[in-house]
Amino acid sequence: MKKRMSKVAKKEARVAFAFILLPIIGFCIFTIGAMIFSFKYSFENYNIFTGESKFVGWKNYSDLFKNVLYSASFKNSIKNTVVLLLSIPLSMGMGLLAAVFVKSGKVKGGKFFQVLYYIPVVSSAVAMNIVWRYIFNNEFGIINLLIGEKIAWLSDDTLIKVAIIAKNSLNGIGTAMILYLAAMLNIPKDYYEAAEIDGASKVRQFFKITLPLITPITFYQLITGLIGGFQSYADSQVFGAGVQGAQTIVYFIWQRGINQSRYGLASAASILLALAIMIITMIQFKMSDKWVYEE
Amino acid sequence: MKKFRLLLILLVISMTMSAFVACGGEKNDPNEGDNPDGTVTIEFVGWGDAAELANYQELVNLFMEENPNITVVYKGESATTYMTTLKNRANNLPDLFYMPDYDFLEWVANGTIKDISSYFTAEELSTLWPQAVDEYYFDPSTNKLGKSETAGLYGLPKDLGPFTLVYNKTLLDKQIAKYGLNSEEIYAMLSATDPMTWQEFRTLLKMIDPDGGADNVYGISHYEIEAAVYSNNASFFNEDASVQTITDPNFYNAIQFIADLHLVDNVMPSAADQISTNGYQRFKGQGCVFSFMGPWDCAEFWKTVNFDYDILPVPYNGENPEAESTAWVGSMGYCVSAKASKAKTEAAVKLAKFLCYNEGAQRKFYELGQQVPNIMDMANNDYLSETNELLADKNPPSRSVWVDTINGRSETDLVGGKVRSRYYTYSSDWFDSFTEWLSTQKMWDGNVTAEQACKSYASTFQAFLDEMRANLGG
Repeated sequence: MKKRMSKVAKKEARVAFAFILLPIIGFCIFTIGAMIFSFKYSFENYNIFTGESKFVGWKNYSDLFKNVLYSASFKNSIKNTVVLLLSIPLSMGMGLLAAVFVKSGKVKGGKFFQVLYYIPVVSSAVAMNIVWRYIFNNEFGIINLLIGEKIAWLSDDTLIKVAIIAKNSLNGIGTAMILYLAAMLNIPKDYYEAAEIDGASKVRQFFKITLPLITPITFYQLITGLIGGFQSYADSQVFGAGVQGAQTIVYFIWQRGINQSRYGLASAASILLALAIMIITMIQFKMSDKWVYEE
Repeated sequence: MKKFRLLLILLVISMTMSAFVACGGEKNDPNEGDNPDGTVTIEFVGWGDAAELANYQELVNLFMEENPNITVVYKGESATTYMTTLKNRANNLPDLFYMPDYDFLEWVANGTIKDISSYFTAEELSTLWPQAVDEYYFDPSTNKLGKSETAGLYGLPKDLGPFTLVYNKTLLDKQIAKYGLNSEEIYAMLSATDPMTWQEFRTLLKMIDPDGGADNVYGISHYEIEAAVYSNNASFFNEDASVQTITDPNFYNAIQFIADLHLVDNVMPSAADQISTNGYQRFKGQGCVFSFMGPWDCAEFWKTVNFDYDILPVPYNGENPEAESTAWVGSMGYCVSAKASKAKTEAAVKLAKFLCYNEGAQRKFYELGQQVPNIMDMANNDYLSETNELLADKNPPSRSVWVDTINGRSETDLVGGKVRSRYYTYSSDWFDSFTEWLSTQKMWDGNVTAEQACKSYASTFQAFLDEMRANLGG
């Protein structure tokens, strides 16, 4: 038998629904709607000037991998995007370390460090990229001045990826630290007291209690980090200024779609990217049963 | 619960429909903006920095005072976002808008720009630089650019700007003193009418920058690819942009000439250093003696640089008897939307005429350091001889170089200009792809020669040309 909702519950549900209505409308129009149109255009040759579309079947998809004009840069953008994802585990690792130090209370001014590490998170991504560009500048950057050598961070295909990974890892410490710190503070003290009585060392406590109990946060950061990483754009456009070694998949989509009016090709790349993100996220969820702690 | 589900279904349907509505093609009312009282309102969109936009607003206000039945809604954009904004409005364009010459073919071939030939007499247009006006002729029956019997006029030139060599006179004098050079001998090489050969230019650069930029002053900031290619009598493709010509020795020797300025002579920053500080920034920051500039740079230079500078014709290959100094010349057009109503088209053309060849407006533009006048007489007389004393002692003193480059004449008949290569092609991305190829091959670092880099890119470039011709139905 179905339970009937009380009047108060119904009213609450209506109010709650009203609160989420606007984001839902936005999501449906600008995300779901855009995806539907992208899917449609990925099979067409769309002319923005005339508004006409011509069905071309799988051509846009095959062009991404076979056409001499686009395949090399598309494959290069995939390679770059995947390599740049390395900053996710790095920032998580460093954030975890920072959280452990702050929580231990052995560091004076823990609050100060929390604020300091969090500043990049609340700053504009474009502004941060411009600042980092000055830091890594080939000619007069602080890093090169400290090293005393002219290293081509911003122009060499490999070094620019190293620079982006370093930059993103450091920028990401703040978020990781705050989330890990919150998760650690939620762990009941009884667990540690019991472990202490059993004679477990601090290191053992960390690996046997802390780390397993914060796996939901690790999982959350991996999911959101990977999705954000696959959609990286400012690194290519602002920090990398479009050099080939920094071009990501989203940069490719922007360059081909918006800049060069190849909307069908860009739509096909977008659909492939969305599929890749979906598959990777699903695999992560599937595998999470084996390592993520659930109460 | 049933009611809730129903509500949800209705919501989803309405949202889906609204998405379709949002993405559907807009229908323009051909008479929109033609007010019942006989007045007309037009939208004019351009780009520029805050100062340029303010100058334009001033001229637009003046135009409205002279034409009280026309209201102009002027909107300015930053140059970096302008084309993206315009493209997003491709189906609902402003009545009058800027169109850079290198994007003109794609837009005009797709029918977005109106043929405005019937609004002009040959006499009217004869006062303007023919090179500038001719750029905006197009024949839709053959999809070919340029003036012909069947071509129509699809725009009026906003300007015509040669991108020529510039040198920091103050810094040059310092280098002369620092290295104990013969000032007279050096200044004799810097002629506004007799361009240097590449060989002479390299010698000069080595004299003023013998330490390879160790003192943070380079001989030259960078080198314009088209200035080198054109000045070695080479081109990227044949006349109708159907066959690549980058495997021609004249072409790759021009590219090698640029590379050698760093690799052999060490008078130009490395490619890596050019990425961290571009030529414009380096020149303004006094990190080099030579660079390149166009007339539109004057406005910013007058405001921000505190050194003397002058311009020169671009050097040419003295070992190639066919070569002559040829700078690239850029232009932008005033174009009218193909969907503009008759009344709005008339008003937009009237405004375009005012901005393009009204004497007061043209004087204002060159006084503000934005361009060489479009009116030939004004450029050859007022602008050069300063009869109106509008420019006072402003740099560069040798403005004749720009006029000569547009004119294609000088005392030695060795100075000329040529439209950017991208003007002749359906899209511009091949140029970025080509320069990216040179970088990834590390040609600028000497890993491969220009000949190897160009030959290995030739098939890709040809594929670009084939695709662009296919887009034009060729």
